[in-house]
Amino acid sequence: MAEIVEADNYEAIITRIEHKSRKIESLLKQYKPVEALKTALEGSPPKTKDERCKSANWIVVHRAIMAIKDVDSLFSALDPEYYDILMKYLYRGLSTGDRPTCDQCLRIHEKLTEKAGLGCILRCLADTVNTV
Amino acid sequence: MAATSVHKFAQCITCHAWSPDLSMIVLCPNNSEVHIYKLSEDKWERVHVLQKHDQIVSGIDWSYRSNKIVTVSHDRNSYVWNQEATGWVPTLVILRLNRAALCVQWSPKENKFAVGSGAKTVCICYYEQENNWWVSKLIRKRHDSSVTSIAWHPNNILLATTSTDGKCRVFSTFIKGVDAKDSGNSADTRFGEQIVQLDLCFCWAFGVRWSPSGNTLAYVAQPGALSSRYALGRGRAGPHGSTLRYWVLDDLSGHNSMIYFVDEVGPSAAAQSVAIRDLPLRDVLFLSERMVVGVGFDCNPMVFVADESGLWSFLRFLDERKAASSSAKYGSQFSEAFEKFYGQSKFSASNNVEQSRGAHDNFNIVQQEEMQIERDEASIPVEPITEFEPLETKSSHEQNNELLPLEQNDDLLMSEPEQNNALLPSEPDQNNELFPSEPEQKKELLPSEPELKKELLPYELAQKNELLPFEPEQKKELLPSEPEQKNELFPSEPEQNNELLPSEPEQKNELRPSESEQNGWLPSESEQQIGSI
Repeated sequence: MAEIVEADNYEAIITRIEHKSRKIESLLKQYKPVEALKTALEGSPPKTKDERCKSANWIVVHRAIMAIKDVDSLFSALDPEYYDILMKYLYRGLSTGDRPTCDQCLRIHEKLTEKAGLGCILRCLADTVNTV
Repeated sequence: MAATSVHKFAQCITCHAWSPDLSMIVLCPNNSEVHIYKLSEDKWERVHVLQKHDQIVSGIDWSYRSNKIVTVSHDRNSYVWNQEATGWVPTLVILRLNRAALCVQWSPKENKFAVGSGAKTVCICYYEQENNWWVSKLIRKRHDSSVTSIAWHPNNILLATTSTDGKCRVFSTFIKGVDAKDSGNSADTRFGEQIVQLDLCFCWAFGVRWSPSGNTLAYVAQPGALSSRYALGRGRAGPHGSTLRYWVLDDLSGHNSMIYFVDEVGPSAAAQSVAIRDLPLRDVLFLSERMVVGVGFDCNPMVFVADESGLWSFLRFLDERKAASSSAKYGSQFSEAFEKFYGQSKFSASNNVEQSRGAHDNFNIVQQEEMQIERDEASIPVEPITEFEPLETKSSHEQNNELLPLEQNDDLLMSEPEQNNALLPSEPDQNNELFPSEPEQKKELLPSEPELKKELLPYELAQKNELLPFEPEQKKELLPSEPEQKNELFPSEPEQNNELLPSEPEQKNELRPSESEQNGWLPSESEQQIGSI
């Protein structure tokens, strides 16, 4: 029975991500990249072990990260509650090895480390359970 | 606050304890000896050297009332030292361990002491008159790894332990014939019975402490995952029929820069974790019911306070913050770190290196010195001996008032108002950044069932993966927003990621405990080095 619930959850997560994706597109069209990033980070599925869900959400987050032009204004608008999860996605971005992605992630990483401190990086690296 | 005094006793100190009147200090200078120093005329003088152990002494405790010193060592032995006319005389303790002893603490009544060990056991030791030695009863098969720290509940029965298996546990240590039947209602629990197990982090747990009342428990965890925090079920009946509350300071002793608090909340116990901006903590100390000091890899004690509602938050650093800003900061940090490694690898570290590290790196007793003194509020026998000038910092006085809402606690932390002001150079912005996030965290914490549910997930998920092999492709096509380029990019990532990220930390976690078992646990030199970085 538990398995059935899980299956529903996967579907639900994927559906939610699709929904998020549409919302992000519309936010980007309105030139609200920070709002888009927040939306992308919200409700990301770190606890699930399902890679499909994680990848799907990463694609959405990546879209939002790449749309960020002004990193300084990003952090004046981004609340601290997003720091830890954003850091995790930055490291995922860096692990792709894709040049533009890495450039962007490093730019944000610098500012984020200033804001959130080394503890944020440690939590991100040390956390083996809530992965993105 | 700068350290009130810095005195260098040894290159490295593995453990220490204060005498009851705070006039003496007993420490292990990273070898098999135990040195006792006495403060006389503003100078610390070595008055005794206790030689009985064969290997590094890993734990020392000095009993307050009976004036006995207990030492434990990696040589698997423990001695209780009594002061007699001829000096300090050791009494053997029969520990029956096959791995190193790691930590020791006298019980509040001082008729027992507990020893944590690398043998996954805790020894509860008590005196046997007829043989004139101390015997031990073992709590076996409860821990999955080394016991890193222990703490006695004020009721003399309950013992909290932390272990490198990432868990914090509470046991009953009731021993017939040693403990009176009427000591609290916990007397009906049998020896070694596990009362609570806290499973809040997936990393090494350290530095467990009870609050003075025994209502709150704090501990920290070494690098691991902060992840699963969940509300605790209610514990067994506590001292006065109340339920036990625990605050877990995750990375209050964790390498994940989190601190967990568990509080005795009656019907709905809740754990709270506080994310720390900086490096993980290694140990904690309750100054009062609502104030905790944590020390760790930042070489700068952190103060945490609980507000009226019991919400814990970071208050500030105790030492002054290294003044640095933005870009210049990182460069200097690297060179500083480099310098530290260099200084340590060459053991003949010159004075220059020492000074550049700042007071707390080479000697962290000072912090505790302050705390203990202030806690006792006794007349302070320890007058500062300044080898290094305390650094001076400038900061505005106005900030101070805003920052310290807990006026009543001020006197706990510092005696001189001027120092107080100098304390807070860079805090304001930090606080602002940190505090807003904490309420949210707590909200996440409170609902207990969801968390538990998540705990269950991983296993089922794994099965699920096998059941649904075809879905992934479909799903990716469904996502409308993705440009083609990206689709090419990403399919390869998940695999990379899977292999790269999760495996490293796990290896780490698995490797370390097993290594340590081989070695009889805690290679204390390297530990120390890590600690002082």
